[in-house]
Amino acid sequence: MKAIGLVALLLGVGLAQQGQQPRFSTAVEMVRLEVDVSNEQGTILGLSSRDFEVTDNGRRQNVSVDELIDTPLDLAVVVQPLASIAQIAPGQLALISRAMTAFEELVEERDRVSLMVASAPPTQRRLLEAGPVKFDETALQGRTDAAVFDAMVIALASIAEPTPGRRRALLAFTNGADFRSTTSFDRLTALARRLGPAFVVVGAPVPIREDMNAVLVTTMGRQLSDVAIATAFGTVFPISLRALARDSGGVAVNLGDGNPKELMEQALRRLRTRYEVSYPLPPGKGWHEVGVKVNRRGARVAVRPGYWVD
Amino acid sequence: MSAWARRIALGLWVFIFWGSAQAQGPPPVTQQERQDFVNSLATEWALKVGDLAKGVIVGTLNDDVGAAFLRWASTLRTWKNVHGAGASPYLAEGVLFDCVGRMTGVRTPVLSGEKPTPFFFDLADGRPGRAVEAFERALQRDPDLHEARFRAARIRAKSDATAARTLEELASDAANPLLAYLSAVSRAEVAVAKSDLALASVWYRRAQTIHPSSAAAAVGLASLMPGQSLSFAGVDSNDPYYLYPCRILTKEVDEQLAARIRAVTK
Repeated sequence: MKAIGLVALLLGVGLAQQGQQPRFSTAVEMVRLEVDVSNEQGTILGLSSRDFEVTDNGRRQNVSVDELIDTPLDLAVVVQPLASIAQIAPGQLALISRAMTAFEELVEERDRVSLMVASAPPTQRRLLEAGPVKFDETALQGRTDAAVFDAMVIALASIAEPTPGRRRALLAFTNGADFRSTTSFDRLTALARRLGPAFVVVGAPVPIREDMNAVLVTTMGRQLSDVAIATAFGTVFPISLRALARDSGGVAVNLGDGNPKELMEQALRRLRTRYEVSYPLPPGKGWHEVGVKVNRRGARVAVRPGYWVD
Repeated sequence: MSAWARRIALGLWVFIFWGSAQAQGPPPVTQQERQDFVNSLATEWALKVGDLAKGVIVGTLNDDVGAAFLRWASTLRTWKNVHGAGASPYLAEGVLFDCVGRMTGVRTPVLSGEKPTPFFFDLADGRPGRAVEAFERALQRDPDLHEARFRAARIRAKSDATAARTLEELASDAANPLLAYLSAVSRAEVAVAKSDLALASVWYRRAQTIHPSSAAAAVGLASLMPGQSLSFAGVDSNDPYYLYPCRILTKEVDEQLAARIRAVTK
């Protein structure tokens, strides 16, 4: 019965966090949504406005849809110090290093990249500029403490202004552990929802193992069965990373899902190709919940869950 | 089996009492039926525990860091029993629990005075409360121990208006600029937690007044004014806000603890 109690308690915490809505003061005349549509084979191309069903606070919208293919990227990159990852998840280092190497190879001349090291305090290594990226692993060793959320806030500021024809995104290599930031996870989530750039959060799975021992006894303490042992084991991917990706219309890259290089290629390919869905701002202040569906069987749609108008 | 797995495998026992077992279905009668029943329940609970981990775990503290915390904790056990030790070991204990209490989602060793907790329940959850208890004991012995006052107030301020006022008082204490700065940032964080972003801005700016190159205040203000560009050049790369959580700021207490840990490890 204790197990059930614990489950209920933790679910309660999760629900309380979800209930906190961000409040934004934004003047918007047109709502513009970056929408990724994909299936098992990758990005689905060739859709038009007839293929989209978009709702804003439950009301169907007449939308314009532009398909943007192979666009250059403005990437705000956040890298957690490797020493801080080693402190609580040494097994993740190799995977994350491989993903970073793959990223260096995948950045193109036409892309612009800024770089923050999520040390405590964060360190700005590069402003948004074009050209190849080379991570200096020595510089990334840094301190054993990380301020990932604060680094993300600063990184977002580096891509605050959208540039026509380019796609903005925040790309973070992290294990999701942050015990130093002044920015809370809730505040960061609110920013992720408001600001528009998708979060591409690259992390590695965490191994878990827990043994359960059970035995049937009477209320007088007499044992009625042999001890049964069951083990919960496997890996989990930090839920906070998934939440950040989901709330920004981005993607969480679990490096345990396959070859890190291929996973990074997929992630960047997705960023370069997307639909821009726009419609006039509907009346009404407060939170506007957005729903986007497409008429393709098995299609997955990634989009911000909504926006706020004061 | 790795060290962390050994720690977890201390043995999580589930005693299924006959009365509650009967409530879940027809009572198993034969020995085989009873064993099957227990086996199936153990498996079912293991699956639930695995699901639980998905929402909680981000990692496991490595053995070296875990051992350092254990040395800190075991040193305190003996230090507190030293006649005339005063407030120092309690401040050191409070900082220890304040530090590890922030490690949400990280499996850590069980420190002295703690009980192993079952499943993936987070030890970090109960630690801020233990830190506050230690700080209060320190303050009983030395009411002028400002660090204990600040740290206890920081932990309590989100749910305690008096503690929030304590942070405000400390933030105005010109005689202790370090604690004044940390208090101002902490007060801003309380305001953010209560969705009072205007007040948060006031306190981040106060922190900037005390420590003009504050990285924490620059980030905090940027998080309140999203969408604006931010100059992060020139901020303090050793901003004490980021460094203090696991360090004792009261110099003589920090030195005493370090000397005692060295003596234990020799």
